[in-house]
Amino acid sequence: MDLMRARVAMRERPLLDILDLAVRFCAAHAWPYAKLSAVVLLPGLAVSWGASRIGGWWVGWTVTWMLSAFAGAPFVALASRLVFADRVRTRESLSIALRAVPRLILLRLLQALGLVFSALLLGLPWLWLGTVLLFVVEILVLEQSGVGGTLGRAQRVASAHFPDAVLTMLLLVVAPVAAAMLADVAGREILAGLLEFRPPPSIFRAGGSWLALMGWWATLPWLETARFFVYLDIRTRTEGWDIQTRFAAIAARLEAERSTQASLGVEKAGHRRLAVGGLALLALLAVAPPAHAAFDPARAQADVDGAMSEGQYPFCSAPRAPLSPSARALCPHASEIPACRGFLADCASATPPPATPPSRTWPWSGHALTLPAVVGRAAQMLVWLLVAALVTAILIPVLRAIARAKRGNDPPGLAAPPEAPRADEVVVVNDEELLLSRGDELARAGRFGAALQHYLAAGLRALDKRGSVRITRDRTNGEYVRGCTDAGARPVLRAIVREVDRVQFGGEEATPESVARASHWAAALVRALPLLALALALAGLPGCGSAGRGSSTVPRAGDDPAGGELFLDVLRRQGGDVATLGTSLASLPLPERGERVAAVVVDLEHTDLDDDTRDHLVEWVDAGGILVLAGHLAGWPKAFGATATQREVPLGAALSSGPHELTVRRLLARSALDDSDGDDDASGKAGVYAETAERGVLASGPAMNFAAPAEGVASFADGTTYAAVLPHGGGFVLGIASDELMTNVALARPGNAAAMVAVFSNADRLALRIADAEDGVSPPSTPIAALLRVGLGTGLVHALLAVLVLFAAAGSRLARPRPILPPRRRAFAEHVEAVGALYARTHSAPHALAAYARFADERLHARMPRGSADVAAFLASRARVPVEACQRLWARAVQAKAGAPPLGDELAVLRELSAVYAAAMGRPMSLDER
Amino acid sequence: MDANLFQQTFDRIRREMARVVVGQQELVDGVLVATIAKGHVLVEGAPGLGKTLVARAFATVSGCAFKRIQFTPDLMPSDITGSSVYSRETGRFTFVPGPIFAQFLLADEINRAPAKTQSALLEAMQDHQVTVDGTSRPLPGPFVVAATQNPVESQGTYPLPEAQLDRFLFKLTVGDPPPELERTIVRHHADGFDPTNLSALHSATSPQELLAMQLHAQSVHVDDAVIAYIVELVRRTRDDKAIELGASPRASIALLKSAQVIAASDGRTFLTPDDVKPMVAAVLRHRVMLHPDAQLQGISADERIQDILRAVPVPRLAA
Repeated sequence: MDLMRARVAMRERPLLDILDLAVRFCAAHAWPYAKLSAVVLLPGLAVSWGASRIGGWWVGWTVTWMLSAFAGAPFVALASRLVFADRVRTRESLSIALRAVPRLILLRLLQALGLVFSALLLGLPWLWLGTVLLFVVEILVLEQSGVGGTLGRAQRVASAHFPDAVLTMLLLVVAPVAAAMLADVAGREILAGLLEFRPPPSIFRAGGSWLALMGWWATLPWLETARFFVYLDIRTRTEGWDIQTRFAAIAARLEAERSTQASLGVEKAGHRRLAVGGLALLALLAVAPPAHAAFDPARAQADVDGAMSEGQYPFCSAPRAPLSPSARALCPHASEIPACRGFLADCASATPPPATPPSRTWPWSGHALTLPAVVGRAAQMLVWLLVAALVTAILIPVLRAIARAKRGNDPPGLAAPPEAPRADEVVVVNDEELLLSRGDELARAGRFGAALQHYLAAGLRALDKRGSVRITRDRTNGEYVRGCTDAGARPVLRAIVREVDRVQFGGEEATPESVARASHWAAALVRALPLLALALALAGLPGCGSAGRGSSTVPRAGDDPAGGELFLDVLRRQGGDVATLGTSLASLPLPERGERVAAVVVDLEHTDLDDDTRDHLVEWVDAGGILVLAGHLAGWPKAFGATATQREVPLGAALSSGPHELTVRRLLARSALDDSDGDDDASGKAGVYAETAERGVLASGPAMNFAAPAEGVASFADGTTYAAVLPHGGGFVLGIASDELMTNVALARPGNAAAMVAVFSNADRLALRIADAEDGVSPPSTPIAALLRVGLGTGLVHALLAVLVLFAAAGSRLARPRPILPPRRRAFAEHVEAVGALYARTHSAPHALAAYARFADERLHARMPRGSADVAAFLASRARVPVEACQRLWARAVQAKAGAPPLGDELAVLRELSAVYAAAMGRPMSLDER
Repeated sequence: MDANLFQQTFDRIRREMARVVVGQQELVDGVLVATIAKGHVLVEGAPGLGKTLVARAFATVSGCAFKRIQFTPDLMPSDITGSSVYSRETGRFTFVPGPIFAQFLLADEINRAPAKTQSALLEAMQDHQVTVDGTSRPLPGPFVVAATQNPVESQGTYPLPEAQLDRFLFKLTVGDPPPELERTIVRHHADGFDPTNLSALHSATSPQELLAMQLHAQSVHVDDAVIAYIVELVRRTRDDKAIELGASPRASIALLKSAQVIAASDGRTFLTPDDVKPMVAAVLRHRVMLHPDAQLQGISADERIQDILRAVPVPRLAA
């Protein structure tokens, strides 16, 4: 393979260049990427979306993250092929990736275990673990390594240029999250502002959205390509141009496997069908339900029964344990609800409630509050999976060893033993694992001396890649030992060297025992770190214990007896246009004159209002808005004058003991509150109610009253008001003393659904907007305020301090004067420069050119990456001159001999070579510039 | 003598030398290795660096008879070898041996004597015998010549001819000690150390033991690969463009013998390239003659030797 045909010039690049290159690379090969994305990303997006619909956004994002861990492999395969080939078929990339999936699964399990272990230590170990395991996909897919080999190889590749690897790892973590948030924000703006469609709930409120999912998946091709290029860059830096032969070998291997691609035709069709199905699913999910004309309490019970029968609400059969205080307060309803044995049993149990009440309407925030339960369950699963993986990992090499032993016992002629290399053959093998395996083969063949040499080479190679030694052909084994910077590895290396010297130079025979010892030592040098990583992972196992009963269940939607899912569902079935508010209450746009805005429902049991929000709500109602406030009377805006009313309870009974019978009036119509005649007083605009009142039963019976004249809509038997309508300015407030009728259990009690519908009919709107818990506070005015609001203030301070410390450290490092070492042959360089003409007159120009070529050769070899030998290519890349010109120049320079007659161009070549050399070394000095 | 005894004796001599010689480890080791390798050592260094002290101390430690000759321009060969003197009482000529009849001879500033006088050492260094008036008289074993020369002064000196330079196993260059060592040296003198009185030194070995060590060093096994490595190193000096006259096969032999001593001092009975490499510079630097152009360019023999060392691959079976 010709390096000049590489689609991407293989030279060392800074990380930003690599990221930019990845963008341009994806753009340049848009069509292959698009085809592969259609096959991989669309199904992933559909599965993620479906998972979020079924289990909530917590499950959805987990599934997304897990799928992304595997969906990137085809893009790595595609990028690796596109670097060297003009046309790459999608099925080739898929087949390459699919072959690596079993091993990738095992590696991802190990990574997940490492992540769990890191979580126990605040995530700090992941900075190292995540980095050393960064390139597992590339090594699995491209280098076709086994699991153990991949772990060690990935660590070595990442360690070769750790800073770039760390930054890449952080990018891979941050970029999808940022892309998801950006896509959600931008997509909502486009949908709502530009296209005037109703956007999905914001990711910051609902925990996710299909827009965010699209943003996450859309970054995957670029991220995988960027990581592949970082891998390419690191290997170019460490192994020089050997990488081209490695990729050539991969290409040759894949060429032989093209015949198996035909079977993927069916899979491709399947992928196409799956993609179409996914799109159809997305379209189906986006379709809005049909709307009804008005709230009808008569249908309410049927709506509740229908919702419960569809199985979406396990709060009766398997309520979330333990019961929150809000759920426990609803226990009086349990015996009245048919088939509510689970909730009834939990009410009867003595399990203390948790300290924090779970969310009513927003499952994802409830899931976040029970995070320890999720982590514990996940840790349990991972422990069992790890046990299974370990058993498999032990069985596989055992089975392989048995198979290998069987092959070794075959009669001669069937399997010829490998030939030991002769002393004059220099076998260049760049992978220490290959050297180890080659040594094992030679040992089994009885060639112990050669085996010892291979073990020594493997150990030296491993240490060289770690930077502990530097392999050069002129170094003796003793110099490697003395020069080894790894104090722990030095004794091991010394032991191997002693064995090798004894056999090679001492004339002694190598014994199987000494070879076995050397093999063990060499393996220890080569595989020390992966074993350490596995040991760390195993050490994390005791911490992954089972979670207690109290947090043994994973929160699900609809399993909270005090939740509000049934409330929203019933209103939607009633034909209401029910949705989350989507904005802060403090930033509600004031209604225009005569505008019929949706009613805003605020449950103050879950939503706290700050002063700015209260003031704005008052202003909003005055401008013509309709506000429904429920519960926590003390948190209402003072301007509405709502107070709790003392109710008379029988002696010995408690207000919250229940049942409290409720009578609710259903609104049929209300006169318009628009001030068309200029009269702002809405007190005369009364409602028209149905003759038949609805009746409900509450477990607790708080009553309320407005200071200003209000229209009662729901009252208890003692005449105290449970809910009332307070006209205020151009709008009105529908005040409800508690949110009990908005809970799952209360609505499931026969009769309460009709009462709830009747109460909300007094809002005189089918369009209801439900405020989220965080909508009660005004949005932060600055980014810093937003960070402080979400509790990242301390983290921000720490980050700023860390930046200052790093800045000071970097500045002091750069400010420290470093002595400029004089060149070793300064006299010679100046001499050549000063007497160039003299050399020409004395016909010594060839000598000058030859001497300078030797000087430059020595200096360049000291700068070139390990393993590289092409001086001209190195000069060309560093000096940014055309490679062909540099090759001609260098060839001419090394061709010169001291005693040869001059050809006439020596001094010109010398001048040009010195300029190129100076440019490559980054110095402005050149003969031409003097 | 076995390998362990050799190593113990070797270390004992070095420890004993360290009691009076501060620093100059390369010089001490070079003299010791040259003695065991049956060679001679040429020491080049400025005055006052302890060259004479090392020689005298070594002679004391090794139990060898020590003689010192200060070479001057008017020194005659007979002043070195001795001569026959007529005795009136006996009526016959009696041979009076010269200072060369010692086991350890310090030839101070050897380049100050004319070539004829310098040549008087040739036979002694090569054959360990002196021929005077047709009679060859053997020199006591072990016979080691440690010659010194001053690199600073060029007036009135006679550069050693190549033939004689080749007789020296090593050429050792002695430099200024680092500040901390110089402070230690001055402290020793301040505490009363007298370099002329080495009675505090004990004899760590004997001439007979040194002879046994010489025999043991010769028995160190040498693999063909190491021989090839040695030959390749020396041969490269002949092909190097900056070297006009490369080293002779005698240099190969010298390299071999000195490396054998190094291997034996490590307690081994076989030679490795790691034993050869440290001795290359000392063995070759005085045996190569640089091209005048190279001298003009400021290239030194040591630099070319290091280049050759980097260019020659160390023998191994697979990389």
